[in-house]
Amino acid sequence: MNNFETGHPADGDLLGYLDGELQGRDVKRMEDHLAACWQCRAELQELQRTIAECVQYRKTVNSSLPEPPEPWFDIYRRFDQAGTLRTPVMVRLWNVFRPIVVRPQPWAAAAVLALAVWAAVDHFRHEAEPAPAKPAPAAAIVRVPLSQTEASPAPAPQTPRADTPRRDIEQAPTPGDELRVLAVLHRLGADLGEPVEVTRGSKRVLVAGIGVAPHLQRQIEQELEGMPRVIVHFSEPAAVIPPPVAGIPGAVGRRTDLAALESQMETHLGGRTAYEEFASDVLDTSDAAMSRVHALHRLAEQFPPEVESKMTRAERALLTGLRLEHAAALQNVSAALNARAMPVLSLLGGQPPQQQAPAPAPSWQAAAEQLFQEARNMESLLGAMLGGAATNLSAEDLPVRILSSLAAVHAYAQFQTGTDPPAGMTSMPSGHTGQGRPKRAPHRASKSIE
Amino acid sequence: MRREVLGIARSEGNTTPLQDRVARLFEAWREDVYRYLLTLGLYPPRAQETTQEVFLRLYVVLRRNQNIENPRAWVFRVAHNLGLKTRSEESWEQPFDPAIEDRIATGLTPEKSLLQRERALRFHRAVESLSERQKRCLFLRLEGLRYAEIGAVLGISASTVGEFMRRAIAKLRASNE
Ligand SMILES: [Zn+2]
Repeated sequence: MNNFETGHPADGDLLGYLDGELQGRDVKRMEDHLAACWQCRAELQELQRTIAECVQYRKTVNSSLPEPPEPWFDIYRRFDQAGTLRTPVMVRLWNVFRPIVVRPQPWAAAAVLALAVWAAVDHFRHEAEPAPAKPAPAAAIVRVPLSQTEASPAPAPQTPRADTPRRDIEQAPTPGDELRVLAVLHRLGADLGEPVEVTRGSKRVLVAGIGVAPHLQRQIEQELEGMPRVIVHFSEPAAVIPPPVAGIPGAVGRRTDLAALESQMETHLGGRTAYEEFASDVLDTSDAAMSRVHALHRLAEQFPPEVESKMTRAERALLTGLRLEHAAALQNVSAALNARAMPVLSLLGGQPPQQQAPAPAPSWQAAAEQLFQEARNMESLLGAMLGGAATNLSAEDLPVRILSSLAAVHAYAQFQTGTDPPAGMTSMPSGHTGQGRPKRAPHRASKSIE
Repeated sequence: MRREVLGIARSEGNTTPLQDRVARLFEAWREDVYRYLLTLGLYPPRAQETTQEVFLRLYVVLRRNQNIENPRAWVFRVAHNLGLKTRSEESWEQPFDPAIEDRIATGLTPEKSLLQRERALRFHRAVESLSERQKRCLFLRLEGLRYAEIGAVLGISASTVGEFMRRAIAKLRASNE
């Protein structure tokens, strides 16, 4: 709180006072001032009136909203179910991912879910894959009850075993099979932040989703029904424990240099409102970029060069098409992000970096990994500057680092839209983490919040 | 089978104090949570499912003796996150729009007189003009969450929440002058 010895408290402090958000000494100071100052007491009353109107507004809105469509469930009956759910896997996964999550991010949640689905499917595959003598029908739509998916040890799902033996279709699914499944999901818009995971097992391509919207489940099932060697498997979300909030962010107050950086940005942008819009825009755009980065990364992981080279020409074309669509979208989003952030960051002392050529990568897959690493870096840096996330970097370094990172991500995005790696690119040193980082700022670890 | 047994067991009063507690909270807060999810853009069936899911999670967490300092804030945080996830799964659809403006204008809300309705409309438009984050802060504050708790929901600092609140209240206040 400002020292208002010479004037009146800011209206934010008045609201903070009414909301009980001022700290000990500030409360005392505020009360002393209010005791003396009629003006501020009247101001306080005005605030109260607006608050009362907000409360009235809530009633208005609530009376406009439709009633729940169904009777509420009998929660006592569900306690039993909730108790049998197993969650440790989810919790562990959350902990793996938490460091890079600085604000609610659809893609990050999806990544966590995808992994969890994978774990569930792994278990399920074990159970569901029939013995060699009894192969499953070409495509099986399997619905496994909640308790069976999540509880372990689970009884084997009943459905896939009830089938007629047909030896002729016992053939391992190819990467092409997997790719065609991905193309279907892409067409349905289910490959961006959807908790749907595709895994190629030894006998079947498994399409698994947790908590997928019912109508999308139906669409996916319909589209995949005719495909050979595909199993679709949906389940409801387990009782995922949300990540515990370890120390509420910002509760201890923002680091002073970061707060100063923020007010500098405010000044450049022409006020608090403009700053908020800026921060909001940049973080939202960065989220949009991340979902594309994630999609590309997934393709790269599922179709490494040695797999891609063995695919048919048509399959390779399909893969290239998927990849280029994501890459082009990423390039647009990344351009927008740069356009929005660059002017402000430059004013803060960040030199716009000369266009960085991406570090040599032997393949688009390796480049996608570099892109992924750099984009995560960008995400945490932006979170530190605009989202209140913790960072080891000084406020002085942040703008420069962000500019570099934005430029690098954009360069990687551009690289992904090209069909071949540029000529003369040689092999990349083994171990990919951080290879694609811009060359500047080497003295400080770029782990900002990791 | 098992459920039948459970139903009988319950009628004999065989429930745990924790179950009773969560059931009480569920009954007391479910409508608020459901409506909050509607304002997030969820369609009514999804909002209702999500609300139910939130309270089951609350039960699971409490059953493990994990400490929840403020259950209401916890419930809204989980509802908010689950709601966003649900909404992103339906991202190709328009978010749910309750058409509040029309309802106020046609007198379907408590505001009956013309003057009251005009005032409510002005206020509603002012709320709509807030940034998404300001709006979230305001709505969560209206549900009784403190700044730090709102910050934990939105992934921003308590002081940023304070700033958003200040801006929001200033804009709303201006709408009536
Ligand atoms: Zn005063």
